[in-house]
Amino acid sequence: MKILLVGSGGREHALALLMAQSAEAPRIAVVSNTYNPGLERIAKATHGRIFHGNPVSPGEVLKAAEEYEPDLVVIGPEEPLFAGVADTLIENGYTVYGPRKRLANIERDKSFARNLMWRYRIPGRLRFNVFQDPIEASNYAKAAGDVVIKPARQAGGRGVRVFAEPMEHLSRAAREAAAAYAQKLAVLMSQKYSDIEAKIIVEERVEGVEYSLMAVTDGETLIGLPAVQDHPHLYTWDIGPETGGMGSIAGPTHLLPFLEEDEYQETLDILKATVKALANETKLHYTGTITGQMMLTSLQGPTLIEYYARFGDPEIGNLIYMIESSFVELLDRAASRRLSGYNLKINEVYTVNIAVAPAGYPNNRETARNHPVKIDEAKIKTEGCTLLYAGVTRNNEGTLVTTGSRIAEIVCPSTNSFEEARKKAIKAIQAITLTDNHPLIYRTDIGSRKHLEARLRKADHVRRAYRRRRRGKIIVYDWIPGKGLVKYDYS
Amino acid sequence: MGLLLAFFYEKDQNAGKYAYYGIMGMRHRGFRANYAAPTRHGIVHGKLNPWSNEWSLPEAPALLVAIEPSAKTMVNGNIAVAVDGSCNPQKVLENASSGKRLKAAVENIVHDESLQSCAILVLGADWFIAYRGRDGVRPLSLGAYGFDALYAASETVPITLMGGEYRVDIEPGQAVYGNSYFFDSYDAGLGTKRTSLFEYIYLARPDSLVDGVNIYEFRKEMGRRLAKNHDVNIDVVVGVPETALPYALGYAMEKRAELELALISTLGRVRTALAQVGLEERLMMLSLKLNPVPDIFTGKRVAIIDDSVVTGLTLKTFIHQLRRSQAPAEIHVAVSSPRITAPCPYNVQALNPASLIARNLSDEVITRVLDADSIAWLPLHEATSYLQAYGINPCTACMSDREVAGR
Repeated sequence: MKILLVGSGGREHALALLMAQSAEAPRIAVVSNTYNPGLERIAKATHGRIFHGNPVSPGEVLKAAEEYEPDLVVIGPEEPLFAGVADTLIENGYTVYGPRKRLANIERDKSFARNLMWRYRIPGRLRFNVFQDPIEASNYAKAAGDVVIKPARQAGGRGVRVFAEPMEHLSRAAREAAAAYAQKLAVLMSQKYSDIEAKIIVEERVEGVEYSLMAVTDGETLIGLPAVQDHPHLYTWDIGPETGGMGSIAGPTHLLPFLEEDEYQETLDILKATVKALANETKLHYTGTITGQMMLTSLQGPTLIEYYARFGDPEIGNLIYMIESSFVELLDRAASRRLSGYNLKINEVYTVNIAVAPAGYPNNRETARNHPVKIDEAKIKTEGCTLLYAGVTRNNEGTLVTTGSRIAEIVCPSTNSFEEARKKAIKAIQAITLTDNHPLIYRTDIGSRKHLEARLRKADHVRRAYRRRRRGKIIVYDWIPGKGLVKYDYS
Repeated sequence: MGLLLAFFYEKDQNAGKYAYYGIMGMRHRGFRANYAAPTRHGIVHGKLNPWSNEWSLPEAPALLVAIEPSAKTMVNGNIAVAVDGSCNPQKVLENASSGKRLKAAVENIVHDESLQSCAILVLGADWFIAYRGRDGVRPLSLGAYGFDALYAASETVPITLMGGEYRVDIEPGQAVYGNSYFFDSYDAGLGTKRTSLFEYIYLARPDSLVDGVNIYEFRKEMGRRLAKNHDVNIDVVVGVPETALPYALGYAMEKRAELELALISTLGRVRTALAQVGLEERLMMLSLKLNPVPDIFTGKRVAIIDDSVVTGLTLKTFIHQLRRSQAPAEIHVAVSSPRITAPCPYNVQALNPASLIARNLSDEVITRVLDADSIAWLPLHEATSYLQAYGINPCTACMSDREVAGR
């Protein structure tokens, strides 16, 4: 069986590993515009090949497909989906894992996604407003308060800022900052992207415990993968700026220690309802991944923060130790719309995935770019862990250098505890160095007992609050003195 | 007496707007705050009285604060330092300026033997260091304000009031340092948590955690233990506001006596013991703090819970007045602190040894001076054993578990 994988980051390295260990023993070729040693190795070992091409160009990917004649095309990142790579390949008769452009809008266009949720009354939705005009956005952010301001178009997770008003006395400072940022971002987005009408989205801020649920679908059947928790803060102890994810934990079952079965099922139902709504809107079949980046909130339990139309990164890395069934079969049956009856088998194992980034990631990529990377892979193997190459490439002299994003992820399993897996990962990370002594940054608390205990406590408080609220239906009463009673119906 | 750091990662954010409330949340620690902030025009620094309404902070993405008298700031060029405890800020400045890389500066500070009995904050143009000396006497907690800022403070209340969430306590011998892109921790090891018992007994706010210990619960429990160690019969319990109230609650529960909120303060949450004023003015402040509700105590056996008896003058004046105005049957004094018998070697309190009543007089004599029927002190071992369960072996250098007068 021949597979063409589009993309060359850490997610694609994880996907290639998952596919390579499947019983089908596929030949894996990769369309890539960076040099990822992990993918090079897998392509070679499975008698596939590397196509040097731009994964975002439908023409270049089609050219590779015509040359390779794959049985299955797997699209890793979101930008090729937004660019219509899946559409071009499907129209040329290929079996493609990865949704078409109009379906991938669920990730690309946040205003589309939020509108869809409200129109179809999909649970877990938030109040929001979209803006094109910078001044209107600014005025609204100032008036509303306690908001999250995001680019309306998916922009690699960048540009999202939270303006929390946990206490009344801080509202003025937070609102002024929010108003200024809304204006700045709206201007920036209109300069940067022309493929979307709405420029920024202002959402109500919620608090709680985050988790991701990735599901594989053929447009009708939906297979939920184990829930994973990402860690967005850059620094240990949940301190620091927001990143694309500095590591994740999953296991030992499809649940997380702080996530209960009914919450998992509810989340899956949200994703199912979304796929159904998309089918109704577009008359197209969603064949690919739909991921809910979720938060368990005190307002309504499982709440949707964002959709992904692909696997989460670093989240997919944890699953390389957890998926026991053939991953190729899973993707292939989804792509060819034969998913019904598929039975996913999971290894019961604790997994910790820790990302390593050059200092400068994520807010100063210039500082983070072009540092020579040295990795002692034998040492990582000794610890029983897996290395996923991510933000690296080769420079003109052939040296492996950083691209400015996360360099690599280290995934470690343990049959005993997250703590044990974490300890292995921290040891294994010492194998990664930048030979110019530029500092590396990674978190040491991911999977630690202390961190998990704090999560459990928070989840317990949130759960008590939302369950109490549910007993009285999910209608939020807000009383504004002098103005009257306002009711928000979330049911 | 206490430190505060607000460090925003984005330069367009104004730390001053948040630190304003952090400083409000540290008013109970003293009457003068020193601040320093790296602005576009270099480091701006100054002093303010957090009890007044006439102060503001400069606009800057980061800011540090030290509350006098035990905490001080010092500024040189582009570096500002703050120390809490018995360290020379000049030494911190020298170490912080010596290394080319941030890590070298951190190592210099951590390995300077003269800097182990304090907590330290350093702020450069775009970086910070927070260090807790190996002696572990002065606490320092870390918090986060969403994805926007890192906060550090001597207790958790200022972090909360700045909208942050408390995350972790810096360990003795541990430095954390970083900037908008980088964060690391350097641990010299071998430290012990010898957190000042004075923090738990008196200094911190009851809605704070210090080294993970809930101050309110600690004080309530100490009130119970104080009652167990005070062999008298009581009808009515009254606490001196504000600090002694949780103790009075625990004491009354243990004694199964009425707790009366019958001493009303005209000054609010002012900490008279920390005021840098003369004796006469102090007594004036105290009479304003302790106005009794009329006719509550007449004919009753009263326990007065006081948070600390340093000179005893306050209590003496108050008891005289109470006997005159309400004629209670008995007045028993229960002090929610162990005997304070020495000045603090770490400058946490700067008391004059000659004025410490428990250092100079026996309990029997103190009772007569106060014109009370009995006096009980919180047994020191009750406090230390409670904290040991949290891995804290508190510093008790200024306190004693037994009478020391005449020794």
